[in-house]
Order: sequence, then structure tokens, then C-alpha cells
Amino acid sequence: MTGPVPGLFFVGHLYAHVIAFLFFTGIIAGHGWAEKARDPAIRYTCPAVVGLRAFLFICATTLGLLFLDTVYKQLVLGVFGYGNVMHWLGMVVLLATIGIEFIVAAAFVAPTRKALVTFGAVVATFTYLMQFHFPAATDVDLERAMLLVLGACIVVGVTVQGILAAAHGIYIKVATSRRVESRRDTPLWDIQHAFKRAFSFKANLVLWVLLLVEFVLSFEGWGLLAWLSLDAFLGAVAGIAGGILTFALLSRWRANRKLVDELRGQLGRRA
Amino acid sequence: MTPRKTPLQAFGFHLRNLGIFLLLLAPVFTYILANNAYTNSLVARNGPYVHFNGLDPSSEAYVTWETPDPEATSLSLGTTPGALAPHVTNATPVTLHRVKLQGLTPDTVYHYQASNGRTGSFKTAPLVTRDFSIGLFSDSQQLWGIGHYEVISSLIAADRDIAFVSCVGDIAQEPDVQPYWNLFWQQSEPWFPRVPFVPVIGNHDIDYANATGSRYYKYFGFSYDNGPYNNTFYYTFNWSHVQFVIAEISTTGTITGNGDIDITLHDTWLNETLANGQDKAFRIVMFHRNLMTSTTTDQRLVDRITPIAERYNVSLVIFGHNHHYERLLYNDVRYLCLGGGGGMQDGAFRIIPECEALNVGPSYTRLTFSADRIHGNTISERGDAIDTFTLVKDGSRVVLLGGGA
Repeated sequence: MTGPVPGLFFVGHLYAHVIAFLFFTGIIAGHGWAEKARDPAIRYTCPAVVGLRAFLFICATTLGLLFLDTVYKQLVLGVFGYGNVMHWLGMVVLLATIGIEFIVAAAFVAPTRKALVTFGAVVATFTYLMQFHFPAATDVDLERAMLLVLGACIVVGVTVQGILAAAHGIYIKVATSRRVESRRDTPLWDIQHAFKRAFSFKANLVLWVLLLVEFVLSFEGWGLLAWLSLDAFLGAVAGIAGGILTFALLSRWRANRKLVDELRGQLGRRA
Repeated sequence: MTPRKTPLQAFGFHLRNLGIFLLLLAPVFTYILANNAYTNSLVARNGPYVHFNGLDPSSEAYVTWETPDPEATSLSLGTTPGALAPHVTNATPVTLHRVKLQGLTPDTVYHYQASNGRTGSFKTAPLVTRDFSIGLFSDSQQLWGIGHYEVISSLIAADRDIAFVSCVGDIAQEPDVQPYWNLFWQQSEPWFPRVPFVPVIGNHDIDYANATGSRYYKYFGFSYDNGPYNNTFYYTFNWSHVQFVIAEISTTGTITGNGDIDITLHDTWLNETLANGQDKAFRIVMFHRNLMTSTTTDQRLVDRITPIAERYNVSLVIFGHNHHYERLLYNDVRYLCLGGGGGMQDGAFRIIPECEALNVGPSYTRLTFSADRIHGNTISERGDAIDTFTLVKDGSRVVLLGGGA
């Protein structure tokens, strides 16, 4: 445990959780009707829609970074110590899950070069403000600083995305006018189907319910995992991990056995 | 012809999405409204509770309770639960009943029964050096009845052998909204019948434009009836070998012009009181407004109060206002911020060099005083250790023996 580190600036699990709950509620509300949420093959062409989507993804990236920062500072740096870890562990696990989902959805599902550069700019802005600027500043209004971090990341993301889109648009125009073949900014890879399987609507609904329960419990002084002792929690995690490992080994063993049986059969026929 | 879609509609957004969004938030709104409705439904049937603002707790105490309708006041008192004698009777019907007990024997358990039928007990302060513990929390205020004070109350109820419990300010959310105060009293019922209450005035407890209309005044009154410090809420008392100084720093760090209290007079009292307490082993100063924490620092208060704490070898300065737990060290004096008492917790932090321990969430602190040391133990709602520390007497000051959870 590092303990309190002078200058360390961070948003605690409670505020991060409230922000996550509200943003996630918006996602769930929009999930059923956003056509692309149901069918990843759909491509939006309306510039306003493409722009709005990019804006929402930049917001999601920023929030994802904020949640993972909270997870890092509480779970790894141990700013609150680990004496009452079970009080906030449930919230931190949820923040980690949602943070990863937001960042992967925003930047790594089917990223174009523009999207990756924008992501890099947002990460750089976030890191500079959270790790260097506010820790070193004097007389900081913390709530305002938190809003400033979110606002600055979104503004930087939108600006970089806008500049890149404009530059690419000009490049295509020039290339077209010169009758030269232009390179489109197509996705570098596409894992939409796998992502949708992992974070399906049902999975998101479960996450939302967990966020809601944790939201209410936190105001009552409790948490999702506060009912468990650390030993019981670690035991359950070890049990689940052991179960998964056993299942994987058994599957492997059964597959090998099947293979051996097939080989035996083939060899028997040849003989 | 198909009507042209707006960009939002093209994105798949319709007004019904907004409806769904609000529907999804319905459980939260229901939770808030249900808590608020429950709080508003509470009737002022509060206490009895024991307090000693401005009194000597070795021989005096107030017993106060409230009834929804005006009733006569009577109180039976005794040192044996089964043999209580009528102590006072007043036929005038009132809703707030306050009985001042005097001539009590030090270090003695007293039992009482109020005219509302409820019973309780308390122990007077010893005059000789004796080990004892106290329970502390701050900012139990619950907006719309939402918060975790009930959890803190159950921790206090489970804590045995504590001399008294103190809320270091912001007992309720509003100084003039009766249901918020009813909520506090009624959630405190698990521990009120057996532990005296030491209130500290907070910014949510008092409206200085209407001080006598505020519930803090209603439930505790002024500390002094006469003398230079008449009509003030600050007070002091000794418990065994420890001096407790309850200062009135609730609203601001400015010196003049806010219409709250005469700060010059207050600080004269603070200096005089601490000077008189130099024969005690430990001096504990409690007030509501935070000096410095990892959420906010009030430099004007730091400049005003820390020199006094250092000059008079104050063993521990305790405050709240910021909603989290923090232990701090500044110029060899230790400070505790105890804001984990019930209100919504703080959200953003920038850890200051003075910070020794930090936590967010419900927290209850127990201080145990022995002849030469103060042991602090702060626990979470589960009883897990958030912070433990021991301050050992070193001349007229104290030094940290060990720390950390």
C-alpha cells in the first residue's frame, strides 16, 4: 500500500459511480432504438449522425478513462487503504468493467486511423491534466477541476477529430479533382460481432441493474460486496477461476480423447 | 412521401427514448420520494436524551424530550433502575420538555424515566483520572432523508462503555426543517437511552439571522445564561483528565461582517479556556468547519486557529464539514476530519502533504483516553478498521506512536 500520496488528484468511486450510472442509463435507453446497436452492419452516412456518434464516443472514452483512473488509484495505489476494501470493491469492479467497455467501444471495435489518433489525443490530455497539471496546481476547486478534465478531453477529442475529418475531406477532394486514387480511412480491424456478444443488450442490462442497486446501496452506507468478507470474496473468485480452469481442462481432455478415438478408428480402417 | 428524418431520428433517437430514460430513472426517483415522504411523516416524538451544554458533567446534566402535543413535564431519577424517585414535576403543558439536573454525584450511573414513559441512563464524569472512551461522527445530515446515518447509529449502539457521543456539526440538513431533526432523533434511538450527547454546532444547524428559531437552539439552547459569553453556543467541560472545548466555528473563516457571532469574543473565550485547561493531561478542541483537508482548505481558518492549537498544546483538533474521514498532521498538531457520519460523501480529492489517512464512506471514530495516551480507532459500516492510531503524551504535547489500518 502506497497510502496517501501528496498531490495525487482523483475522482472517488462514489462520484464516478453516479456519473457512470447516469451515462449508462442513457445508453440503455438508446440501445433498443439505435439501429446500429441491433445490426453492426449498418453504416451511418448522415454527417450530423456521424458527428454525433463521434462526439458520444469521445465522451465515452473520457468517462472510461476517468473510471479506470479511479480503479487504478483506489485498487492499485490504495489511497483509501484496504481496511474497508469490501465497501468499495463492488463499485470499483463495476467501474473497471464499464470503463473497459466504454474505451473498447469507442476506440477499438472498428477503429479508423482518425479514431486512433483522436483516442491518443484524449488519453494525452487526460493524463496531462490528471497526473501533472492538477497535482501541481495550487488552490484547486476539485469539483471544477473534475469538470474541466472531462470538458477539456471532450473539446480536444472533438477538435482533433474535426481537424482530421476536414483534412481527410480536403485530401479526397483534391485527389478526386486530380483524378488520382485516394485512400479512404477504412477500419483497421472489425471486432463488432465479438464485442456485441460480450456486451450484448442483456449483459448491459445486467450491468445497469447492478449499477442501480449499488447506487441505492451506496446512499444507505452499503455496497454490493459489503455483505461479504474479503476472505469469502477471494474464496468465491478462486472457486470461479478454478471452475473455469477445470472446465477448460476437461474440454481439452475430451477433445483430445475424441481426436485419439478418431485416429484409432482411421488406423483401424486402414489396417 | 416519407417524411425527412432529423439527425437525432436518423441516429435512432425518438422522444420515446427520453421517456425510456426517465422510466429507467424511476427507481431512483421513487427511492428519493419514498425517503422524503417517510421523513416528512415523522412526528416530533423525540428523546429523551441527555446533554450538558454549558454544564459541569460531573454534577449536572439536562434531560430533554419532545412530545407531539403539549403535556405536563415530570421526570423520575435514581441510581437504581427499580427505585426511581420523582425528581421534578411541572404541570404547565409544553411540547419541549427540559429538566436540568444538579447536585449529581461524580462517576455515578443515573437512571431516569421521563413523562413520555421512556427510560434511560447516563454516567456522570469522574473527577479523578480514569480510562474512558467517546464516540464521534460528523455531518449526519441527510437531504430528503437519504443517507447512511442509521448505519452509524447502529455502530454507536453496538459500542459499549462510551462516556458520551458527539456529532461534530451538521446534525440535520436544515436548521428550520423539523422533519430532518425528527429523522436524526429517531434514527438515534438505538443509543440515546444510555449515552449522553455532546452537540457541536454546524453550518446546517443554525441560521444566524434567526438563531433562536433554529432547531439547534430549540434542542440544546444557549450554553451560557449570563456573563460575558451569554447567548452563545460554544462551551467547555472536563471529563476525568481531559478538557473538551466545543468551539463555534460553523459558518465562515472571516473575522467580521457576516452577522454570525462575535469572533473576537469567541477567540478570547477559546484562548482563556485553553489556558485554564493546561493542568489537564489532554486538550481536545472540536468545531464544525474544516481547516484543511484533501478536498478543501480554508486558509483563513488555518491562520486563525492553528496558532491557538499550537500555543496551548492541543492534543487533537476535531472537525467535520468535508464529507470524508481524514487524519492530518500540521505543525506537530493532529487534526481529524470526521465527515463520514451520514451525508453524501465527497467526490474529488487532491491529497495534501498534511494527510496521514483518508477514507470515503460511512465511518465512526472511537477515542479511548488513558492516563498517558489517546487511542483512535475509526471503523467502517462493517466494523472494518479504516484507521487506527495512538497518541502518547510527551511533556505537554502528544506524539504519534503508530498509525495505519
